[in-house]
Amino acid sequence: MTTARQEVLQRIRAALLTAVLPMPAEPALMAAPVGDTEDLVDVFRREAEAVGAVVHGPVSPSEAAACITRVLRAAGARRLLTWNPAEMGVAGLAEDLEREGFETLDPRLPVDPANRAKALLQLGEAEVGLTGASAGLADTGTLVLRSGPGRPRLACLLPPVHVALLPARLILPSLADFLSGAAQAAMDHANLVLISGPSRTGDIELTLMRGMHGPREVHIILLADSEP
Amino acid sequence: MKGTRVAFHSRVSLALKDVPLRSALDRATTRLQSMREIGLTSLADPDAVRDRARRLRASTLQRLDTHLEAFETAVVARGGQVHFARDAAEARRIVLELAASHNVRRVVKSKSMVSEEIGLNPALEEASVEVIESDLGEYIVQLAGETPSHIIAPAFHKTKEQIGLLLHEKLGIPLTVDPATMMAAARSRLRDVYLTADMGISGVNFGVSETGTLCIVTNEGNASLSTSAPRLHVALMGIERLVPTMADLSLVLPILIRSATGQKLSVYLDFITGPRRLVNGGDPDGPSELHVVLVDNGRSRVLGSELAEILYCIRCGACLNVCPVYREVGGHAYGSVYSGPIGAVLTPALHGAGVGSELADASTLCGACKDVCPVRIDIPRMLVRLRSNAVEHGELPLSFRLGLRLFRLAATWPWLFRAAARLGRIVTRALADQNYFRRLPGPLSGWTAQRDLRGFAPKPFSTLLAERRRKRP
Amino acid sequence: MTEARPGSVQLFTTCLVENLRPQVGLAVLDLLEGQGCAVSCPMGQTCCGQPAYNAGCLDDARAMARRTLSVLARSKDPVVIPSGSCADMIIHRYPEILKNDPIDAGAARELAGRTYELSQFLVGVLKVKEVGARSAGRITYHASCHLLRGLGEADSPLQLLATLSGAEMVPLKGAEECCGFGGLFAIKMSDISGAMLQRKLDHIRASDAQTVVACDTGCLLHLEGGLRRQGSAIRVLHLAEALVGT
Repeated sequence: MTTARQEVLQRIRAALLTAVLPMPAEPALMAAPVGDTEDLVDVFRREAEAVGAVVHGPVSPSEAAACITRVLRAAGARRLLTWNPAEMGVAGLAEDLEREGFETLDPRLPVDPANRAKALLQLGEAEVGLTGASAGLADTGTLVLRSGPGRPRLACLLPPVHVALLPARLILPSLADFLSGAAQAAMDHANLVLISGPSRTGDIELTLMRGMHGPREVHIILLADSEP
Repeated sequence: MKGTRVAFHSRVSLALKDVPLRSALDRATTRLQSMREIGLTSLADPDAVRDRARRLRASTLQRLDTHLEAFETAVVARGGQVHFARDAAEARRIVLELAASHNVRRVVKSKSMVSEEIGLNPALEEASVEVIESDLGEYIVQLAGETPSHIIAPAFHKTKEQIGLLLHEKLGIPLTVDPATMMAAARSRLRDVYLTADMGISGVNFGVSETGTLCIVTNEGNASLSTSAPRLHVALMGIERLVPTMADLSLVLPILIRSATGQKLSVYLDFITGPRRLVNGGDPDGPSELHVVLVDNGRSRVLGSELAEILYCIRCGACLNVCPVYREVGGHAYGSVYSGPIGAVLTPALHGAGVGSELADASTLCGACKDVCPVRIDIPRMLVRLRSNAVEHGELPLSFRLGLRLFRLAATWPWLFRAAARLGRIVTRALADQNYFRRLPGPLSGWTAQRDLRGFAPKPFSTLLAERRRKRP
Repeated sequence: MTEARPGSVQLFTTCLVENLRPQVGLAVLDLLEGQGCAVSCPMGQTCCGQPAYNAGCLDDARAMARRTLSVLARSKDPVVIPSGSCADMIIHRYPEILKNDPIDAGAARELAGRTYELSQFLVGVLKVKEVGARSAGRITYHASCHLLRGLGEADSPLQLLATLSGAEMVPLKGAEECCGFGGLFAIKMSDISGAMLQRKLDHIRASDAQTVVACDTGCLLHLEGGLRRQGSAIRVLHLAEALVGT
């Protein structure tokens, strides 16, 4: 007896014998974008702001902690849903956060349903989500986040404010640059998410509104590698 | 099928009288059209992109079996599970069984046209599983007990007054016409749902066969939340929605998103590969299980037919926004999950057996859809193909069949053509008022209800030509 | 395809011009002869077959296509047609519907290669810069679907109208949107057709034009039918009629 799988594949093979699949000629190679002399950081900042994110920095390593603290305070943070500070590329961040009095919620969700539900409800109380980023895409102002140990997916989604720390050297020109090398990263991580500005909807009379489900505010703190 | 044709005309008639609907449609389609046009300006060569995207769709479908097998292997290699569903009933069964075996009481859904197509929500509800749509437009439509009227903006047929009243009635919030207040109420209700749902069900914009990745596009972040918070993720995907590689996405995503909303990228692009990982201490969150349901439901049959090109569709909705017919009647008039130009082909194609064949007639073949399609689908050609199938199945009304046969005879025998024209002139002299008909019988009465019809000229061109040539040889 | 001004052309009148708007045919003659062309009107023309094609009656369409082919293949002169939809039918649909016919496939392709819609011919082949006609009042242009999207002709009619001295061109909102005729559609789906027409007529009235011009007699029938019923004095002219200063 054929399984559904076998049957569907057989049907497809049979169909391909008679399929009419028109295809145009290969178009001329598109002109590669003229080597942008514009600084990637400047492009990133402009595009991220155009989609409603707030961009800070680049800040040097010695200024980073103070900047982060300032942005968190301004966002009204008391409880944080955060990546493991060791994943965010700022030395001493864990200590700074503790010293400044931010409460860091445990992001690990238990597997069993009852405890998971309880944990989720608690995580829902965080005012700010704090994450790093594994890349930025300049021409769309996009953050790339990878899930993994110490990097909860919900940190950039649940709280109404998301603060992301992005090393400036990780900014790529565009989505195409990212995707051309992304196969291994995709396979190695349960979730890659590309975020371009705060959550939005236009579902009521096409009126644009921020903060539908994901954060209504996104702050990106660019991190420089060295002191100026 | 006469019954469905009559039903269609009745829905159309209702829609044409619905003034708020028509003004909402006008506003929304105009807006979305102009957003798309603005969006395309940020592409150096949109036509080349469309050609490439079309080639990608064609070449992927040409090897669909191979790509599906590779996709399945890759998903499983990362801990996901793959289920094939031959038809809607089987797809529903798979999801219901997953819900039952995992003690699922509540489902949160992000937008999935396939889930509508297979009738999933009613089936889940019948099995006492609560289903809540998370996309704001879908949520509104669900509260109203309706179906979506547009692929991208499901509730755009509703005014904010109507939505305010709906939320007041269903959520108990004070009556308001402020969209921000409405959004806040929906957001608050839906957050509860994310945090307490047992299963998240999503659609898939593109499956990537090299990596087993599900690519999902949203602006609200509802797919990200629906697929990260609950312990189970079930993804529904039509078998044709594959691209071979991650790099291929850089071709289709920019043109999909610009065609749909004019943005360069949606706010959220999720790439999901397998469930929550367990290595190195394990991912802190994410679903413990990922199930991908690959739905055929007529697609393989369409693939083998002359309508295969309709499978290139990447569900951007641009054709709906430019269709002059859709703009007058809206999505519900089509009476099917897929509406607009894409629906007029996809619905009869998927279902066969004359279902939705009246939709092929609801077009002037103006070609606006083909003009905006990011993968250049030749919808007019396929509408004619559907009409020709209907003719072959004897569905053309006798009066039209006879009329066209007579016309063909007249067109093949010039003397008959001239005789018919002479008859036309006689009828015009007899019945027309100053060469215009104001009322005509039978099928032509539809025309004269709203329009005059010019009659035959007293002398045809060939006569005038002969006279002219005599005067100036 | 040579760019030299051909001496002789064939006129494919179209069934609607022949029987309903013969003045269009005379205007086309004036235009082409005025540019120095010798125009022949081959005997035995009837209909290009588009109504049958659109209705899905492909066998009937093929029969009518073969008939038209035989009429237009007697001479190798270019064929000029005062209708975007008929030209599109011959140029694009004939090779498609006859592609499996061993005898006529080649003839269809050959004919398609020398068939032109009127404005396409005047601007693209004859390179007309000036029609030398006078007109008056405000004119607006409705872009028929098959001419615009089927044949890719957006500018030629406008270029030609712009050479009319004394007339003022005014823009038409939604000029590129379908008027709702669609052949049998206007009868089978007459209520939707009527709604589309009403939208178009509202735009025409809002343009403040005194004359609306189009390149397809089907559109003209539809537009004038609606305007007349609504008691409007706005004239509805074929491009050819406008260009000879009607």
